[in-house]
Amino acid sequence: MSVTSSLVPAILGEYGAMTRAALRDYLPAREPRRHLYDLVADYPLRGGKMMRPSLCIAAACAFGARPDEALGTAVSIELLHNALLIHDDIEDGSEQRRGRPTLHLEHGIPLALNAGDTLALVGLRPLLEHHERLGADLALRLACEAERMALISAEGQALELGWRHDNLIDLTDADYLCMVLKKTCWLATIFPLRAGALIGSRVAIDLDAFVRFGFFLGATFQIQDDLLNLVADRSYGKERDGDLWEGKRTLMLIRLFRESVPADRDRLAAILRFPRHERTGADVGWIRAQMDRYDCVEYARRFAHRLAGAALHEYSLAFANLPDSRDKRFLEEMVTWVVERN
Amino acid sequence: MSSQKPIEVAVIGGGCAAISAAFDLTRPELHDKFHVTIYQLGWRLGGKGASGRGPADRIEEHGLHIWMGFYENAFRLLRECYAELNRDPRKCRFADWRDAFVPQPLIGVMDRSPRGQWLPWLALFSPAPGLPGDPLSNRNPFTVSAYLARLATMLRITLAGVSTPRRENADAPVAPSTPNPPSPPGTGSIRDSSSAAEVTAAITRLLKYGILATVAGLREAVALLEIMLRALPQYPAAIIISVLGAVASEARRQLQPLIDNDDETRRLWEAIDLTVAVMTGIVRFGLATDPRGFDAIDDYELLDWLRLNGASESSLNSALVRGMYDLAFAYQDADPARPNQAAGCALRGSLRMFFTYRGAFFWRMQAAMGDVVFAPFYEVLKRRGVTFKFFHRLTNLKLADPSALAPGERPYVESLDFDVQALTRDGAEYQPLIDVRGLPCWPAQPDFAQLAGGAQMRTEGRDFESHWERRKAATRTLRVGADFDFVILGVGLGAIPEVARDLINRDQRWRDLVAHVTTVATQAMQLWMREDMAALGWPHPQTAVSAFVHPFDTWADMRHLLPEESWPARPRAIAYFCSALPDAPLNRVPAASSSAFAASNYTASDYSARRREQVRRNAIDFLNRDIAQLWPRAARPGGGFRWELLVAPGESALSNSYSIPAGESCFDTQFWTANVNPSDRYVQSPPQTTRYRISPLDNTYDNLTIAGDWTACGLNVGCVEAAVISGRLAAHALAGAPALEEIVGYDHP
Amino acid sequence: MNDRPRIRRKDPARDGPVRDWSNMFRGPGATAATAPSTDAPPPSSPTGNTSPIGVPDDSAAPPAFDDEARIGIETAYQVIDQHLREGRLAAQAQAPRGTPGTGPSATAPPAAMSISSDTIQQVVTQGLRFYSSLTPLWAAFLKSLAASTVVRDMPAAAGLAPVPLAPSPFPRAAADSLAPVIVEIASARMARVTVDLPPSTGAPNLATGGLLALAPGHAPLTDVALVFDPAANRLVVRIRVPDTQPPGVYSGVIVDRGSAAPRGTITLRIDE
Repeated sequence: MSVTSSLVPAILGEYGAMTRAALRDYLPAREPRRHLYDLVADYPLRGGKMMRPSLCIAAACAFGARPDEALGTAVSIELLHNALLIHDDIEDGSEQRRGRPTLHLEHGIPLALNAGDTLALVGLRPLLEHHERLGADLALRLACEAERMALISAEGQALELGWRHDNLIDLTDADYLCMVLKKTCWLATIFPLRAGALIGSRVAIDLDAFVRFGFFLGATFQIQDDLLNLVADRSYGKERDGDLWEGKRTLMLIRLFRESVPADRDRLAAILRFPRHERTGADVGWIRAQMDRYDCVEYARRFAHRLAGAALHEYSLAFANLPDSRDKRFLEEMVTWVVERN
Repeated sequence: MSSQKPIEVAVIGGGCAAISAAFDLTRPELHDKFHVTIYQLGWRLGGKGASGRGPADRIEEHGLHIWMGFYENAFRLLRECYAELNRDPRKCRFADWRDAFVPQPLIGVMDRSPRGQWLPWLALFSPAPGLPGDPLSNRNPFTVSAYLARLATMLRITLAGVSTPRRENADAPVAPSTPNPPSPPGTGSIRDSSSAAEVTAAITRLLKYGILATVAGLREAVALLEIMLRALPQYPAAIIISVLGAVASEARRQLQPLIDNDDETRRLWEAIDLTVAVMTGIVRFGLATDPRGFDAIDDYELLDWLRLNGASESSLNSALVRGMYDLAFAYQDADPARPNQAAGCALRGSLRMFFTYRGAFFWRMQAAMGDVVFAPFYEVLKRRGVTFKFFHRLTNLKLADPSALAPGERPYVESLDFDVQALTRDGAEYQPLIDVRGLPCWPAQPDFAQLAGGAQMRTEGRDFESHWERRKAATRTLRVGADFDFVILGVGLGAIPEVARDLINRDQRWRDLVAHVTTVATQAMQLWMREDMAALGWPHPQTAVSAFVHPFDTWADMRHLLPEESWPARPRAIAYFCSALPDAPLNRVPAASSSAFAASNYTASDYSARRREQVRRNAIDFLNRDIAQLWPRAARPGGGFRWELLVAPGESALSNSYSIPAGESCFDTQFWTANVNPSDRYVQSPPQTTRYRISPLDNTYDNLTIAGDWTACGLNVGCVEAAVISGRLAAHALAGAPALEEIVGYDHP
Repeated sequence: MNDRPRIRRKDPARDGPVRDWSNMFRGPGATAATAPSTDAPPPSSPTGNTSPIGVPDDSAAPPAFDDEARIGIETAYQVIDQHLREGRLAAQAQAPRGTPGTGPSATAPPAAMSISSDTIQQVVTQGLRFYSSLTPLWAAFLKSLAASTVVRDMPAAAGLAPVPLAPSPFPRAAADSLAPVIVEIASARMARVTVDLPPSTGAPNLATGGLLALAPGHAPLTDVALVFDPAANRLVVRIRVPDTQPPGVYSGVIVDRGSAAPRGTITLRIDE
């Protein structure tokens, strides 16, 4: 599990570039620019790993489709993802995104909010155009899947925000997994894989296997994301320790609550009770140190590795009978990449 | 594949369900992932299907076993077993499964005419393409709409039978072999391709102008009905129901003058009436789109439900209906005056039986069920490495202490206590089969020679299968982790209250299960006679007939078994009889219903002897009193049975049979049985009890699953197919295989 | 005493029979991995099914398999299986169904709508009118939406159980297994036609009720015929546009004759 894959970055690059190029066609280039369409185009053009659209295209190709058949859906996924990022950043009060200030920090919350809504609508367009190329049935099915995914993502976000809102401290690993499943996995992995499989196979195959594979892959991805936020050298998404500032209920924080002695627990709860702007650097530093003390970071790392193992198992079930291909191998190696990346 | 230690599975029970589970768990493609040990009391496998060879190698069964042509899973496993067994046809007369199972196309019910006469109503069911157990081309062929279409076709054919001149053979509706027969002539311009509007207009015209009042009009209406039913969602249910109602009342009006005088017309009318009631009910209750399928009407008793849908009382008393109840022993407390079965289970079973059979409607076995089913499975399973422990009776299934469970850990089975009824002389493995002219069979008694202290046991005639025989040579306790990892509890439902006390004490669902899902004892007798059936006054070809009088309402002509047995004085006819057996005399109000049958109520060890004597009396009275209605020449001119007809196993070939003093004592040489052991009681499906069944897939106790026709197995009626399905489900519960979609008919309305 | 931890059953994918297939999201009998694999071992059962065992067991884990990780994985599987179960139940709950009658006096409610081509046309027309201000893109999507929704909500017509398309071997057989549809138009002005007809098995038995105008008040195009040419295995759409027909967008639905189920759409644009 420690072999560095060169296939994954290659495919991410290839499909990512394809998506980015196609994506531009959907960003309206008309007025109002300064207050809308420039903002709309901001996040998508800032770059990113393009993992989500690549999963979609690769899944479709593994089933025998051509990349351009899945490109529309891939673009839609990336645009929707970015739209949700805008909202996430507002909801979390984040300050940095991909090395630059967040949209709402640059333009204020009202404009950023509007831009996020517009970007979401723009993201639907490729799905609507599908019916000409993919047929009405498949297009409708994809649209329904996207709608389902969007609702579930919102539910997951509500779950997470609700925990912070109510300052819940006795969450379990199961709670976390359930939240990650809804908030992250459906948009990041499950929908792209299912949509790709639908486009590629065109028949009513059992999609539950992809839900499982997507879940384990996405959960591993998210835990690794959370870990990187604490330990990475360079920040690519959020600012370092941003999660701690936000009081985000990561697997590490949940374990910290669970394992802390009562005195530490009370202090932790007190820190998180106050809004972000009232937390100090010392508070955040203390939490970070506590995590090391209670072995939270290593626990999460081990957990992620176990989930990756399960992901590989589910991968074998979902893709077992497909002929070997570059795309199929990419999907398999994604599991390792997701947990090994830094 | 995996070099890890196999998972140890303790299978308790040796009937259809347990054997099916063991068969699925030990398939080669699982690469020995599981090691199975089957724990069986007594000396033979089979449970309620166990059989033995007695004197003259005569077959002695628990009762009448017929396999229906829709038993897809039972036949599939059986065929796979025979294929794997790969017997040499030169050495064994049942090498191919088709040597062992033979179509039985002629079935009947005894019809009581209004004048009190008993007349056989026989039906010849035409063969259907394919064989049961063949792979299905369409993975999901079972829809309510398809059944409705077939019912309509049956209706049309029945009507056609009414209108034509009387024929020689009284043919009841035969199951059509093609799903979409062409519309009959006379339907005008209406074709399958006509639009909904056109068809609705035609129907309206028919209903409005009383055009039904001719037979031709009636037929046209039914033809339109077929078209409508095939496209069900388009037509509002109200229209379909009004057509059905019009057809029924019009048919009755036209047939009424004929019914009273013509038995054949009366029977056809009864068939029409019942068919229309079933169709009306399916449409009215929306069963075609109800996600619960036929479960939706399981709260109704079948007769009540048919009545709600317009069936007349005379049709509900018809031989057809009575025969269906007899086959299922569906009488509360075995009282023939109290028919009782859940409408959904009954309807599902009937539709499967009539419309989804392959090959033949019924299949009969050419030897005892133990010989053609359980002996082959025993041999194959042994070859695959299954361990068999005979003479092991489960006494207690013990759950782990709930307070010792880790947080989040589910309850589980901690240990199994067994009585070891007997040990072999030298500690070797008990060899259960005997050879009957080249065929491995089960004996009617254990091989005492292999058992320690066997001579004494033989002298006293020890019955290891008796619930009340509690003497043991040893006890044994198996522990989780050391001796087993998983348990499949495959005992009969009647045994559950005794062996699964922990489950019942701690789990309300199990209490509900044993309280509501009832069982009934059965009685059976077998006769060997020196004259053939024709000479006895039954002229028809070989058949099985039901709906006759209590106490032996079902009998089967078993002449095909004659070559199997080894009688010196060759009998010319064999007859098997069976029916339900009440626990208490019928003229007394039972103190506790058979649902909470607690064998501990009957502490006397002579209980089974007393019941056996009761069956003997029943049989003798029946033969003296009632048999003449069936076999006119089996009775003496002044009444009473011709006892000299019965052949005793010890008779020599040369004896002059008619010099034997002929009296009731002749009966003692025949075979009869009172199936009163709790595990042998037949499972029923009363209304409002389906919900209390527990599925083998249920994972409350995470190292335990269950198997038996009493579980929630989809089919939910007491029969071989339900038991086999439940065994496959149990295998799935432990292994994930077979896939649920592979279990034919599990996913079914 | 055995060293390994107590073996537990995994929760099965489902715990009861599927009684009603018509409302299931996936096709009947479809399971994962139905395409044959070239390197699969020869089938050993009559059905030829060699599906892998879908139960993750302890042997898949590395030898040092501690409690913490095992519980973690079990938790994860419980979460996802519960999620899948809920999804299935939700899908079942949303599908339309009839309600059972409960007594002799209860007349059964209509279990499903009586769907005719007219109804579909009406729905489509209304939809088109409402969105007529949008680009043709939206209109086409909604038209497909109306058609496909009806297909999805209608339980399988009796005797016409939906035939699952066989999974195609790879490389994927092109969707042009049905020969192209031929369109014959007689029109004085420039006209563009789109026919959206997904491939289906069996000989088509199709009809159409004419094309309705997007703009209110315009007469429909009634001279539209569908003819199937068995010799060439081709569907021919014949449209005659009267000279007086106002320009604009017209669309209609192609239905299956026997079941009145919508199968596709025709869109015609007449230029100025």
